[in-house]
Amino acid sequence: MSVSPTPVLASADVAPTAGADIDKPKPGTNISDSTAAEAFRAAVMDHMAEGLYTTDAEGRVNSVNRAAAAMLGWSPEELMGRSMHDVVHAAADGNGHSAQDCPFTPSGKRAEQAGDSDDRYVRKDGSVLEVSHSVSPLQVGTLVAGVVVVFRDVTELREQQRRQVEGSHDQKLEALGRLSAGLAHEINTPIQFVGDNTRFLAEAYQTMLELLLVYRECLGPTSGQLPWEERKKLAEDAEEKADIDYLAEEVPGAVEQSLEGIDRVASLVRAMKAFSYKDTKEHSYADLNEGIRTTVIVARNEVKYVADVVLDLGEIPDVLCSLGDLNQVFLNLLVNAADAMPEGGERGEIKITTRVEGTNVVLSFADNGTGIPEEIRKTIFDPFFTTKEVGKGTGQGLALARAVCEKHGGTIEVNSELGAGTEFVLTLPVSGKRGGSS
Amino acid sequence: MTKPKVLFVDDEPRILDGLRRSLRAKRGEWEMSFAPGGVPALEVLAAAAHDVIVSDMRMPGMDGAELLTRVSTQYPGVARVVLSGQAEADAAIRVAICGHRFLTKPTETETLTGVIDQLIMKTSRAHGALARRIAGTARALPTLPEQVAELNAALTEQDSNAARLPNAVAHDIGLTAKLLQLSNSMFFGARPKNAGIAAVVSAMGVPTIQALVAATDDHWSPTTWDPRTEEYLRSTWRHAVATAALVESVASPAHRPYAHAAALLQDIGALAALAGVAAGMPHHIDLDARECDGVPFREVGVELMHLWGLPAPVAAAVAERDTPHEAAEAGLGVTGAVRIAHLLVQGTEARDPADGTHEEELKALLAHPQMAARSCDWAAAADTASDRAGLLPAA
Repeated sequence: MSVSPTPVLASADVAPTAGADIDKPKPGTNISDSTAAEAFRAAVMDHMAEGLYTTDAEGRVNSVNRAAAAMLGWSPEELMGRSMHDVVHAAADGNGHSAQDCPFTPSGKRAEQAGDSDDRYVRKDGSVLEVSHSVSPLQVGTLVAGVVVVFRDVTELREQQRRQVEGSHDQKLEALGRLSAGLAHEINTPIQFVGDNTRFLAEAYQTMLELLLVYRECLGPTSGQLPWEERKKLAEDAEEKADIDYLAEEVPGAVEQSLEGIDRVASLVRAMKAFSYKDTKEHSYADLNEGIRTTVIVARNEVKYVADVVLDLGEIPDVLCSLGDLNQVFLNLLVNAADAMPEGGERGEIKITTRVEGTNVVLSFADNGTGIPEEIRKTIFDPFFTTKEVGKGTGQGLALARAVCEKHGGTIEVNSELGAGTEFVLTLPVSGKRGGSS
Repeated sequence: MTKPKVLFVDDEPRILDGLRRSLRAKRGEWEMSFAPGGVPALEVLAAAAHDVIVSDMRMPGMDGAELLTRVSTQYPGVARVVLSGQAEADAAIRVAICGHRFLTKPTETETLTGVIDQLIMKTSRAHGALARRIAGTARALPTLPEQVAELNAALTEQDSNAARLPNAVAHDIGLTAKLLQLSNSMFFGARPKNAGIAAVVSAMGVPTIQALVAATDDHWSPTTWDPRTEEYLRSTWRHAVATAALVESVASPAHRPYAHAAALLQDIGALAALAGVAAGMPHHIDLDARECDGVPFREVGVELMHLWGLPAPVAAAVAERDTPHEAAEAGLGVTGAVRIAHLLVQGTEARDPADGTHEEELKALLAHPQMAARSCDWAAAADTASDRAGLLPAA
């Protein structure tokens, strides 16, 4: 190949390293194939979307394609002969590789294939781009003669991924915000009656103590002189004053209800803890029935005014999953079901069923609410689709539900009939993986 | 003598059991009933006249706001107390309109019995039950249409002109009364003690005020009045605003917030009675006699302030506005300051046509050390206040 059509191919100006000189036909390429070689060269150097450059043993650029130069904001001529490490890793915003660690500065020790990895490059103007690159050493005998690097700009992709993560975070916060008002209500109510009952018990104790003192007086030696009838009268009067029959009837109830109230708060607090349990990326085997029970307790205040929740939980094996994420899905489905109850209508029913089907666990959330109109049934899983009024929903709930199900190798389906109700069916492989066996 | 009757409503039977037990000591004083929901509560009220209802907010079927709203029209003589464990702001506004007093769960027995005992008492000696019924009808007080516009403008202008909102609120009788009522309750956040309306506005926050303005707007139709009533409302409003402006100079700094509120709310009884008429109550209003069904407006106003739990010094100053004041050596107090400001405004265009000038009394009051110590042309100050009140949007 004699003439380079663009200055990009300036490798002839620097001492080419044998294998790195990719703008020449590969050894063994037939000259008569030069048209094909030229097409190959043009594809790699001019048209390929990925950036590509090669360096010599000292890490100096000895060829660079159009895309790489454009992404980095340099002209190809400027890059030729420069140390690539100095160019893309130098600025403060770079990733701070030292020259020794830099994969572009090949040394005998680091001659292994680097594979795909993430890095941050600095452009000529100082701005940063996030890249995914693969660095391949050019090995000539025992020496490393340079590296071949292919990279692409993933700044936007990463940004998008971050937004998704934040989006699901926002969604969780919203659900939590709505929950926290309901949880406050669920806690304040028992606190009120436990307080009232305890105050009553304090009074009752005082009354009974006073009565006891009267008894003691009646039995004591000083009363020994009093006739039995008078002593009996004294005790009876005191009993009447204390209204002992009322106390005998009410005290056990007050104790029982206080304990029940404390139990309610305690189980709620436990459920709150379990609900957000292990909110990590790691999956572990968990009891989905327990997750559903927990979610029902946590969401009680969102549901109890409009519907009864009926649980029909079958015997299902533990499922490899992120229970925290699935609980979030259960919560969304439960709150949606409650919101689907017609305004001012009869009290509805939400039935949650779990069962095993082959290697899958099937969970069904069925309500007898208003149903979903045919025309929007396809769009309900789209992010930001919502039929709720402003401030009540962000349209993230079902999108998140689908994403979580897919992450677990499962599916979510909807069956709905206008005026009769809606059923969401989650099918999750026990193994946590698509098509896998447990 | 029959015992006062108190009705408790909650969908949670445990709450009713707890109240029944903890309030047992009151069984000698009150006759208590307990209803597990809105519908049975209305049945209890239909069977016997009650004094106080204490209701939960969030209940299945008929909720507390709906129940109390019905009570306000069907049984306006029953004082309405909210006892709720709910914390959502949007629900709080609905409650704010229909309730008289607001308690949050958990509330201690002593606090609850204190509020109920207060509400069993009626302020009007001569017309207790009647004044209670007229005042009890009012859920929110009328705002003149121009003021609604000014308030809305102030609300939208929050960012550019933060002073406009407290200023607009401080000129609105109904909203000032509502805010003082709410600022008295844990329900609506912290309570600034002896605070001026500006402090209440900033403590409650713009969204709450916004929601309140919107909610009270719903309850008031400006088109119902005949020209005479309209004229009466405007002169009442101008007199109140002028007195409130002037009393800021008359009262000692410590008394200023309450004195301002009392001056602004001095004719709140007339507004409450007219609001009842607007809401469809068959009241007979006599504007010349300043009476509603034979009850002086002032007595209605004092009863309303009592029901709403407004600060006692404010209610006392309103009650005594027309009573000749003998200033104590120690100082004028809220009542004295309001009386002086009122008498000064009587010498201006913003006078209350139903009252005279009481020159002798005014002279004596202006000679009080607290007034005499300041070299101020009070008559000129009153004229300025009157003129300003005449220029404000609603006048």
